[in-house]
Amino acid sequence: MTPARRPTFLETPMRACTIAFAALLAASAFARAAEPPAQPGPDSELYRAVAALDTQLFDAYNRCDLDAFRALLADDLEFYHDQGGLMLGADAVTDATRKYICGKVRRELVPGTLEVDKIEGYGAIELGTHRFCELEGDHCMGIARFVQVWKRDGDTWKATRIISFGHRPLDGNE
Amino acid sequence: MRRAAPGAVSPWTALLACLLLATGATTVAARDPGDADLFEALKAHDSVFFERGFNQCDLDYLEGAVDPQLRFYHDQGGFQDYATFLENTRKYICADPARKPIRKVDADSLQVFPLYHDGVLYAALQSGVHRFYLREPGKDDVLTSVARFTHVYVLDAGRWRLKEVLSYDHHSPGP
Repeated sequence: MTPARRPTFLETPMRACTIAFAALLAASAFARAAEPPAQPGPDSELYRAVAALDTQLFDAYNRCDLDAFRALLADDLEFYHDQGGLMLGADAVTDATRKYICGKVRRELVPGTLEVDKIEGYGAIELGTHRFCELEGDHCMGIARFVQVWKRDGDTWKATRIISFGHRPLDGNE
Repeated sequence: MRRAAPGAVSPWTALLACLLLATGATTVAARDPGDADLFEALKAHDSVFFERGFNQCDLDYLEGAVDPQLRFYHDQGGFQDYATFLENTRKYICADPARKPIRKVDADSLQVFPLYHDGVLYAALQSGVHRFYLREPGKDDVLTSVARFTHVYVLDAGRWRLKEVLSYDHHSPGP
């Protein structure tokens, strides 16, 4: 029978974790410094353009300015919703907004969640998280993630795809 | 007293998490929403789709596994429809066995979200990180690019068909 021995210092979980953790910190800092930036950052022209489009689209949605809302949607828009199914066309989406949103719900982009990437020769991808709140006051009932595809035609941008998914109720502390 | 910035994980929290994992005192945190069966089904589907459709260049399989109304958005390559996507796959992914692009997914990065219509599942969104390699005969695979993806699969008579593809955040691998 092999006599039991005390684990060496390196073999204790505490020590192993500390070393692994320090190595991880060093490696991630190094990787961050060495990697070229991939996605356009918040200071880039594309990021600012898409952030402005998000503001325009949802200001119109929150104010129930359906002409302004409709003008930012491509005629052949496809809207994938995780509870409401697939809606086809800007008119159907505008109509659903009139019925289910106007005078009932306010949408907020969750600060710090917006991500933007280009689609070369086409437009941009927008990703983020948004909350759905009461019209007045700060109470928000739900939260979801979203993806929007924007097509650029000259100076005009329109959403060609919207995917709203991962809806869940908010518990009040978020 | 100083307080950590919201959302920041302090080194002590991370260390504690490490210790808990090391001692088996906790289970791995659940993945984002979506039920476990759907997650596994889509994980398996992603694996088959890319192994056959991309790595092995089974183009007959690929033609049936993507929706005829496919929309493919690539940060560097631009927009492709069904016909362009198949043509480009033939030309750039499957033409030269001596320099074969290979795709591998980071399994830990996968997330799946169900999409319902009146309580009935009609599609699913799957997102994650994948890595692309160049395979040359007799050599080790060389990592060429890392990217994120968001895929929408629609259910068509019980079969998943890839309908929306967002392939973005392509960057060169770090050291």
